[in-house]
Amino acid sequence: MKEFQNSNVGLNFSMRRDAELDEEELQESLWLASKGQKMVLYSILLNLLLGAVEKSNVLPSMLIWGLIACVFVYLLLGVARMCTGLDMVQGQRILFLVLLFFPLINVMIIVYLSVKTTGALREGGWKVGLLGGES
Amino acid sequence: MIILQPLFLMPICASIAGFVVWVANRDYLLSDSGLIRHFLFVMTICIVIIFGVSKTNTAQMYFDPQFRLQAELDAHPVYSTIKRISPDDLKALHDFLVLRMSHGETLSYAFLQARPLLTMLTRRQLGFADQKSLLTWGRVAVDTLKVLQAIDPMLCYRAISHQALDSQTLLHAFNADNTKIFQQAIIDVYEFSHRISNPDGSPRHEAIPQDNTPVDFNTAGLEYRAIKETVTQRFGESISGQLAMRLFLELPIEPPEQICAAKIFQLESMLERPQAMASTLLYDNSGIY
Repeated sequence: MKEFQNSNVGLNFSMRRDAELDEEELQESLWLASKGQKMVLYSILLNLLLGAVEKSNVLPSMLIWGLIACVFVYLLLGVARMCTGLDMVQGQRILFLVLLFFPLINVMIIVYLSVKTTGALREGGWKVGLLGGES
Repeated sequence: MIILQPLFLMPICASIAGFVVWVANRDYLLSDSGLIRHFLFVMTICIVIIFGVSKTNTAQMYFDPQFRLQAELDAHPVYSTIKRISPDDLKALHDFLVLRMSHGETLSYAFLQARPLLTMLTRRQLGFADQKSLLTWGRVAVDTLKVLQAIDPMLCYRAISHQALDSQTLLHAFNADNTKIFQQAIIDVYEFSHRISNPDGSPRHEAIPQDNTPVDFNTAGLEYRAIKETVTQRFGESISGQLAMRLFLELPIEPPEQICAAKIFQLESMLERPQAMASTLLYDNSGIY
């Protein structure tokens, strides 16, 4: 009987530990998704800023295009993080990266991932503001 | 080239890169930065390859209609000759041909339509042409007038009076041989005018052939008068006067077949003379249509 009680306590402990681990993993995933979402939002803002700078002819266009390319790589990384945070498989992550190079579809992809991330963050108890989520 | 537009190039390369990265890493999970690194690396290689391939002549001929059109134009002997010798004339010819070809016409058809323009451009070069080229041009003029007269004397009259011929006439009137001779005459005139001119436009006397000695002005005048007399006897004072003055109204005041026959007779009489005399008469007195 005592042995049974001991094993029961052990099981409870193990389940609690598993639950804590799951929670930890979930929070880590949400943190990744939130970080990815922030990166995407920042890259959109930077892109708008660079567009304005390009129009004002303040900087040489080659430099502007270089910066735009860097911002785009940052956006790709953000999207990859969001996909990882949302537990997507590698094939899906690659597909979303590819679709980012298609005009118009890329906007839809960003909106879709952002909405999905916001939902997941809210579900995980995060507050989501204009510039992404906060735990 | 449409394939090199970022709108097309980037999605194509991204798709290829995505596929390659997916196939290469199917069995293990890449980190985010590793995935982006692999993806961008393959994509860059893809862009470089597509860009390199698209710059080859074969690819440009296949994908770039502008390049294909220009290659087709450059391969035409008349176009390439004018391109080499007279950039100003080339612009007029190029614009005309591109306009016609943009309406779906073939190059040979567009060149047929360009005949009046080519005639006008070549006539401007005749002052620099050698005697042989002048005679060739004169023979082409006679052949052209004969062809037009056979179809309709009014067409022949329109050609003499430098009025535009409609595209259907140009298309159906001249056969391949006539067109070939016409184009060769243009090439000869341009080539010679180029040979005897320095880059600054001044004449290169040493390049003028030995047998190109001009005839005495008075002798040529007498010869011309003799031809005019014959024309007057055959076709009457009025037609002879019109040919001499080179003044032709839009509508003929004499029967067009008569005027046309007189013009052909005049040119043929000039061409029968020795080379030096014939070329002088053709250039100075006929206006070569």
